[in-house]
Parts: sequence; C-alpha cells; structure tokens
Amino acid sequence: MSVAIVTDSTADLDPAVARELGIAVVPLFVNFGEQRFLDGVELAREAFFARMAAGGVLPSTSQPTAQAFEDAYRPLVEAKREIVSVHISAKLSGTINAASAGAQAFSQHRIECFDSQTATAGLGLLVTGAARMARDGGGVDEILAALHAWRASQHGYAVFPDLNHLARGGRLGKAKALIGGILRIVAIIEVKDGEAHEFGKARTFSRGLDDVADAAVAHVMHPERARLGVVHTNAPQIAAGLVERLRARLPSPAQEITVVAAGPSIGVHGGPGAAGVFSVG
Amino acid sequence: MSAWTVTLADGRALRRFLAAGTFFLRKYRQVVNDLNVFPVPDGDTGSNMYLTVRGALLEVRKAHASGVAEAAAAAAMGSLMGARGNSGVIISQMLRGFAHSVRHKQALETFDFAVALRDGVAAARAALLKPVEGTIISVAQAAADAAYKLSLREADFYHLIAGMVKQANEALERTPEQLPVLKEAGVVDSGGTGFVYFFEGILRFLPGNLARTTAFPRRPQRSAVFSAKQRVEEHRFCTEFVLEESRCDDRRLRTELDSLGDSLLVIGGEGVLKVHIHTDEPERVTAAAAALGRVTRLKVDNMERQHNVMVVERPSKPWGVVAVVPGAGFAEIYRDLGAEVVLRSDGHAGLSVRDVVLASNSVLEPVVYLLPNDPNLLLVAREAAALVQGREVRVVATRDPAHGIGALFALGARAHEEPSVEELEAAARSMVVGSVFLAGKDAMFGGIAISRGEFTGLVGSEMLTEGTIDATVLAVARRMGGEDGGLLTLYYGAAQKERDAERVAQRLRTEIAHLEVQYYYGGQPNSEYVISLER
Repeated sequence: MSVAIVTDSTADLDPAVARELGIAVVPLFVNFGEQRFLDGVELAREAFFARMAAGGVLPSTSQPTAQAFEDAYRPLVEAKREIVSVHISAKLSGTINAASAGAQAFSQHRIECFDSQTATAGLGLLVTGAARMARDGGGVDEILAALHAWRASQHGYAVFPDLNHLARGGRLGKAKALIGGILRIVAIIEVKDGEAHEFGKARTFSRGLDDVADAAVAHVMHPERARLGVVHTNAPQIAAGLVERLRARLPSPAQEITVVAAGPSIGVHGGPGAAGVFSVG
Repeated sequence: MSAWTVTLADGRALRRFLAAGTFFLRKYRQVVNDLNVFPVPDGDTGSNMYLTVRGALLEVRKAHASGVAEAAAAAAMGSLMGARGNSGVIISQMLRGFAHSVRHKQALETFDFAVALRDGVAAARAALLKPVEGTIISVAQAAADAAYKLSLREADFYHLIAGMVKQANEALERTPEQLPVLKEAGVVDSGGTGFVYFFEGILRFLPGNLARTTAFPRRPQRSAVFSAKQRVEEHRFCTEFVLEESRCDDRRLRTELDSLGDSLLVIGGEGVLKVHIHTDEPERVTAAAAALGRVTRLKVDNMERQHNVMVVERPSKPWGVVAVVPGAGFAEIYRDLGAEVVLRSDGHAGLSVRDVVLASNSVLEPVVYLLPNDPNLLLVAREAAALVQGREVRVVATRDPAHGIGALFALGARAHEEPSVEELEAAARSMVVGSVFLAGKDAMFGGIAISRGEFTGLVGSEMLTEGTIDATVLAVARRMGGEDGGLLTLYYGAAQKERDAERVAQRLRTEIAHLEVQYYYGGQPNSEYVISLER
C-alpha cells in the first residue's frame, strides 16, 4: 500500500486536489467568541470572510485535538498504510504536537510527523509534493528526504494591508518592528525558520506586491524545477496580479504556479486582502 | 587724495580683505536672502554666503599667516568646511582656485591678485556640472575680467576693486536678461548680489579717494514669509574638545556655551580648558569656543546612534542612511523609517558641508546613502561625500523629502543588498510630487500671474492657483494624476494645523474617487503642503 499523507487545514488545499491525491486534512478550530467551528468543515471560506467583514467579535483559532488526529490516523493504520503527517510550523501553531500526541495511540505503527516550518501555500507545496511521491510509489524515507530538501530550499513572502490581525494573534514573530510606526505602511513579511520576519515596508499595496514578487523570483534558479504557490485572503484579483508579476519576472515559465484561497484559520491571522507567494526548488 | 595706498597685499592684508567683505555680507545678508529667486521662498543665499566666508575668515585668523599663500590656503580650507548651499560651494571653489594660483607667493600685486581671481572663477566653473549664466558665476567672471584688464596699468588695490565692483554691478544688472526666471520674478541674481556686497565691503575698507557710492546697498525686494520658530529637540551629539590658548576663564566659556546644550562640563584653567557638552549643534559650540581660543582634540559622537547600537535590535544591513529634511515632522518620519542620522535644513544656520561630513562619519556601516532632499543641497552633499574617508558615501539626488521617503522604502525592501544610486533615484522618481505654498511676492511664473500672499500649487515646473488653500491642493492632486487612483500623502507644514490637513484630506477623498488619502505632520517652514502620489 502507498504511504498515506496527512496534513491540517492551514495547508489551504483545494478540496478537489486533496481528494485527487488522497490527502487527509485535519481541521483546526475557528472561534468567534463562544462559537467554535471546524475550519472548512463547519465554516466555509466565504461565510467566514463575510462574518469577519461584518465586524463584532474578532475570531481566533485553536489547534485540532489529539483525538482528531487519532481519528484521522486510525483508518489509515487499519489499512496498514505508513503515514507521513506534514504540518504548519511549530512556531506558528501547536498543531504538530496534537498530531504527534494522536500518533502515540499507534506506537506499533510508523507515523512520521514533519514540521514544515511554513504554512498555507508553502505547506501546500510540501504536502502535494509528498502526496505525488507517495502516489508514484515512494517510500516513507524517500518522502522524508524530499521533505527535508524542500524545507531547506523553501521561501515565503507575504504582503499585508493591515498587520494588526497577525499581531493580535501573536503570530508576528520577529516582525514586531513593523507595527507602531508613524507612516501607515504595507508590511512585507518573510516566513523564515518557521516564523514571521520583517522583510520590508512599502507605501502602497501594489508596490508591496512588486517587492514580494522580486524577492520570490530572486530565489528561483531553475524555473522549470520551481514550484510556486500564491495565496490570498479573500482577494482573488490581488492573487491574479501577483501571478502576473511573477510571470513577468521569471525568465521562463515555472514548473508550477498554484493559486490557493486561504481558509478561515489563515484568514484569522492574515486579515482580508493579504497575499503571499511561497516557493520550493 | 588719501595719504596712503595699498599696492601690495600679503597674508595680513588678505585677512583684512576677507574680514571686511565678511562684515559687509553679514550686514546685508537678509537683503540677499530676500532676492533668493521666486517661487520657492527658501531665501537663504545671503546667510549661506555669509557663513561660508565667515568659515574662511575664522580659519585665516587661526593661521596667523604673514604670507599670502598660507592665508589663502587657510581661507580655502575654512570655506570648504563651512560651505553652505550652492553659492557657498561655489565660493569655496573660487577660494580654492585662488589659493592654488598664489601658492608660491608671499604677497600680491594687483596683477597677481587679478590672475588669481580669474583662476578662482575658472576653478568654480570647472567644479559645476553645468554652469548657468545669469548667476554668481557670470558676475564673478565679469569682475575677474575687469580686474585683469585694469591690473595691467593699475597698481592701487582701491582703484582695482572699485573698477571690479562697477563691472560686477553691471553684470548683475544683466542677470535677469540671462536667466528668464529672474526676469519673471523681477529680481537680480541673489548669489551675484552677495558677491558684489563682499567686494563692496573690501572697497569700503580700503583707503580711497573716490566717492563712496556704488549701486549699493539695494533695497530688500520682499520681506520674509515665515518666522523661525524656536525648536527644542533632545540633544544628540556628545561633543568634547580641548580649548588651547584660551582667552577666557572657565566661567566665561561656560556662559558662552550654556545655551547651546546640556550636561555642560568645563574644566581646567591657565589657557587650557577641557569641554564636554551634549548638543544638537556641535558646530555652533565649536564656533563659539573657537572665538575664545584654539579648539583641539575635537570628538563628536552621535548619542542616538550609540543608544541604538546598544539597546535596539536592528536588522543587520551593510548600509546606513543620512538624510536632510526641512522640518520636525519629516525628521521623526525619517528616523522612524530607519535613517541613522537626520539633519535639519531649516535650522537658523543652514547646513554646512561640515555638518554632512560629521553626520556621515557617525554612521557605523561601510556604505552611507545620503539623501539631500533638496536640489539646492545637492552640491553640498556631493562636496561632503568627497570629503568623507573610510566610508563610501552615495549621494541619492532626491529633490524633496517626499522623494526621499520613496528612496527609503526602496532601500528597506533591499535590506541585505546595496542597491545602486540609479535604482534608488528611479524609485524616488516613480513618485509624483507636488506642493502648495504661500507666494512670497507678486510675480509672473510660466505665464501665470501670482500675487503675494496667494496660495500657489507647484507640480513639476507648473504653477497653479485656485484662490483658497483647499482648492489649490485639490487642483494639485488632480494635476498630479490623482484621478487615476493611488495613495496620496499630504505632509502639512509648520503653518498648518492637523485639523486643516484632516479637512483637506476629507475633501480630497470626497471629490476624487478611488484615491486613498493620508496626512502627516511634515513641519516644513517653506510650504503649506508637500504632496506625493504613489501607485
């Protein structure tokens, strides 16, 4: 049996892609005050952003329970499939702890929990890459070796019209200096070593997108082997603009440019109207 | 007839010439300031010229030279370090050329003096990228040529300089014909006027037998449009030096320096005093002290910089930024955006090459990006950049503080690289900038009649006026292309209030769809609004 790939809802996988590649997705929780929803299951993306825009109580997220992971792993274990479980950076969420706690229930079975040190489209690139290897008959060790290589070569940049969402959720990491300045700015974050770092500031969002595209393309040595993931929080037109910028800057077409719409758990921290680009290879 | 004449000028004579010219320029500097060409009323030519020649004089006094070569070299050095503004840099180049010409001489006859003047003007021309006729260069050229012709038969310095001043005056009267912008504004060139004043001062000092009337002094062309406000800032420079051969005791020195800073310490006696002070104006401190003795072992440290290095975790980068800004608000914004040293161009003394050199030296990084933010400060910046040692100073030719902010953002996006000056200038230029100010006098500009006291908009070289300040800002925003959307930023000047800026911003938002409008305090004294548009 092929190796099973498990991830969490912060990978912002398109459900059709997850189904096609047989990836199991464990949802985080999105909370509006006392109300608690399973990300993407009980709360759809459109409904979430509409509710966020309506104002009122600000949403928060919480990691899945260990039980949720145990429940996700159980059918795979029973099918005698080895598991690689790839998750959002441990510096951004405790999800991977819940995953490894869930894996404890199957101590006789091989379940590898892997910290992607990234999130959203970046995590998506790692997960879909791993799933394709698994589909083509790759073993656990082979997949893990590839994941390590991808993790070492990945880059992520995002531009935020309002950094307060990230700050409120405590996900600002080493980019704290970007808030509290005199001029209102568009903040550019780099995801590095699993957390947010200050990359730069721009005066306008359009300039911020230029800077993000410049930064991402600067790391692409061989476009034909590069996989890029563009993410947006309820702003498909902005994502389209970013893809356009990337295409214009790349010397030849990239192997892959996937556009994903961030779900509620990423949306809580990014706030609406943000966009980013992640790359591996 | 006078009882005696001057036919040979040695080092002491040169010092007296310089003192007389400096005195006269000091007396009439405001007249020169007021001639400073419309439209932008940054009227500081006279002050800049005075401070530059004063720098030369102070250095010559320190040199105690009897030979003219040594005295001229000291004057050239002093003016170079004291050079403020374009005219100051031109004067310092003239003095440098003069000094080079007389470098082997003990004393000058009129012919030597005239040749050295011509060499001085040639040196100044060579230093300018594009010498413009109708400015101080034309006036100085006419004066030097006249001196040369006269010196072939005239041995008396009084007659030589009288002839020079006459020709210089005539050249000055021609400047509006040479430079249309002067004609439209109805003034003669300010730098040229300062030049004539300087020689007029020498003339009046010399014993002569001609009637003491030349075309001067002129009447002021307009009154100042703004009053300098007292500004209080935290003191940033820890300044220490030893005053040798002091002509005062510690108590007197303390009284002299007390108003210039805090944490003042003066110790010692018997001709040697050690001084420690925290100040924003190390140059004023040393100048005040220099009048009372010889300043040695000067050490100026930027405390803000030290503080930052010790306390604040900064992203490591290979470069630092020195910026010149025209107001307290801009200064805060620039510091906030990470500029290591922010100099103010709106201080009472103007900005000297020395200020910029000191600032660049206080940056720790090996590459310094220098943002002059004013076309009039570009020469000063380049001059300073050439004098800084041990660091590579790159002058980014930003034309105003809004452009500079564009360059800073471009730098911030490349924190780990060393972007080229061209890249940064392109980033600055991608921003459309305009301004609204209060016209200082009646004038014609680009075919538009502007009355004194009228709010005037400026976009590129185009002027417009719409009566009220709000309507003028709106017209400027439209002319800048605001109707195509983008981010419009208003930086309001010292004379505007926050609620005025808020009202104007609100009106812009209402009347121009798809335009994001933000407003900040710039604090600049010479305009009501600096406006930038970015996409």
